[in-house]
Amino acid sequence: MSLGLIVLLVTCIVLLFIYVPLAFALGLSTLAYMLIQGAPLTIIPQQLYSGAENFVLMALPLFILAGNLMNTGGITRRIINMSLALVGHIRGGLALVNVIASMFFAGVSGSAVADTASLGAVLIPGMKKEGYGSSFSAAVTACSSTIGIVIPPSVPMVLHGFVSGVSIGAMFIAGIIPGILIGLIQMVIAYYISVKRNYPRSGDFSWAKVWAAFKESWLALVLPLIILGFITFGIATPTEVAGIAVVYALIVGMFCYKELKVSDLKKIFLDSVKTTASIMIIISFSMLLGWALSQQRVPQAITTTIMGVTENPYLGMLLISALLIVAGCFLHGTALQLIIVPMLLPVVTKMGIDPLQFAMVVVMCVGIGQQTPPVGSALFVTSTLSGDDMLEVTKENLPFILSLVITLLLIIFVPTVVTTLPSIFMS
Amino acid sequence: MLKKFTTGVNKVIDLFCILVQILMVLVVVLQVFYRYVLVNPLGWTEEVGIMTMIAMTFIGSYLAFRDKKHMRISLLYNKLGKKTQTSLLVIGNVLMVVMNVFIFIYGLNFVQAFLGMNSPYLGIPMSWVYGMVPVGAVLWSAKLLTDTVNLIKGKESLDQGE
Repeated sequence: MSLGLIVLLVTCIVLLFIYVPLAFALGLSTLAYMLIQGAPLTIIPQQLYSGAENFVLMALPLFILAGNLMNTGGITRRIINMSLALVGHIRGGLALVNVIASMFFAGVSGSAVADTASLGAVLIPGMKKEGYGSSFSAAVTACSSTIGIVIPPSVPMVLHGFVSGVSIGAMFIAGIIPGILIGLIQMVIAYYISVKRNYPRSGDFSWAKVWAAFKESWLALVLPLIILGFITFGIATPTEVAGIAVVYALIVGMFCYKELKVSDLKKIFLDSVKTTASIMIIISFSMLLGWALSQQRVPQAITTTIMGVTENPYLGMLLISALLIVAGCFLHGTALQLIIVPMLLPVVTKMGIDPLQFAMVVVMCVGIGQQTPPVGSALFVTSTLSGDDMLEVTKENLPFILSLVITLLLIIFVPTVVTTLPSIFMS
Repeated sequence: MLKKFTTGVNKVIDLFCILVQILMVLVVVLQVFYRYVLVNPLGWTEEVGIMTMIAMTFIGSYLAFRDKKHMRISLLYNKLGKKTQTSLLVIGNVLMVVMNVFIFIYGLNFVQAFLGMNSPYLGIPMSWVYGMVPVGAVLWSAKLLTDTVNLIKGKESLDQGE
């Protein structure tokens, strides 16, 4: 290891731990590296721009905006009512409602944390009131919210498309089966625990109720179908579909549901800009860091190391998943995808792993990372909402995290779960 | 006086970012409409789209910083006393100002290299677009410096991120 590289890594880690914003920790450590190496500093603006100058990445702000527009009180209520009509009558009804609502919400928004916050705010107090354990309620909410990044649209998929060049449309379609699968496994787990602990049912089932809830909510529920339809029929690119989703969310919210007021828009727009910018600035600075790492041939060194351990693609994927899951305990998903994943891409290519399959492995690892302490965004939001200790929630969350691990293993060993739909619809 | 000025600047930036976002949506929707419905693709939409991305990244990140929305790792930080937290924030802020000075100087160099060059479709001067980075660096630095003064006076919140 050269002196420059050591300085780069050490300053980066130290800066992160002394609470410097992630983007600037990347920037400052690369700056230190450049000064030591005597690199031309004009590279700074060049690399910063190269992160932002990307039409494909525009899907990111647009899906974030569409999600925020859809994420109003009215739509959350409608989605919960729809789920209640479908599964509320089963034992552990509200736990199942939590999972189903997350699946519906997943088609509306592209991030897990948005789902957690809005569904959790309603469902966690509701579940506690009906006698569910507080940590259990928080755990179901946290883990089911990860479905949000597996079922399209998905912010991590857009990021992965930027990093790896894999088609975002193909990833969106590939996510459908694993997303539904996670939901089903989680419902089985929630049902089993609910029966054991004698958690209550909520209401009776009737087709009339389902129909009434459907009439109220279908405008929100068809959004994922519109998104997928436009992409599969080649009408629009993911970026363009994201723009269409914004217009759709505006029309539904303002004119059909009449829940969205012009006075709300200012806050929604500004919040979306802030969320986007806080990700985009990390992208820009990670381009700068990536330049330094590739100058030091770090990706090649990692490739040689991993290939030295195994050349088998299955073992390779297991190893990489383990690496990403451990790193995901300490890093936010965005950082994981922008810093760690690019360094692993060469080895993935060398092992002959299907890029689409690997994309889904990454998305699943990011999802698991949202659940694991000490740094897990979904876990953090729900434990704050329920007022429980993160570790208490994690204990209840373990069976649900298992659903994510099972799906991850399926994606690795039975790749048809992710490749079938894209090969039918994207040809 | 200074306070009035800051509020004014912040309002202008809020409005600018909202307009940028509206423009982004319009451009993308127009692009699909012209290509798919009118079968008469527009060339300039992608160009403007990328400009809105640059504006949102570099000016928007100031907004996110102003409202404490940037990702930080609070694992160690949260276990520290108030005094240590304050000193860490001051050190971090000073380092970020240093970074911004570099970004400003070399960002400006970059802008100069593009003086007189216009965007291919609409002829928008590229120096305006690339000027977003030095402008962003100035905004960040101003906010960082005032925050630091307030931190030392004990007037600034110690919780700064997500």
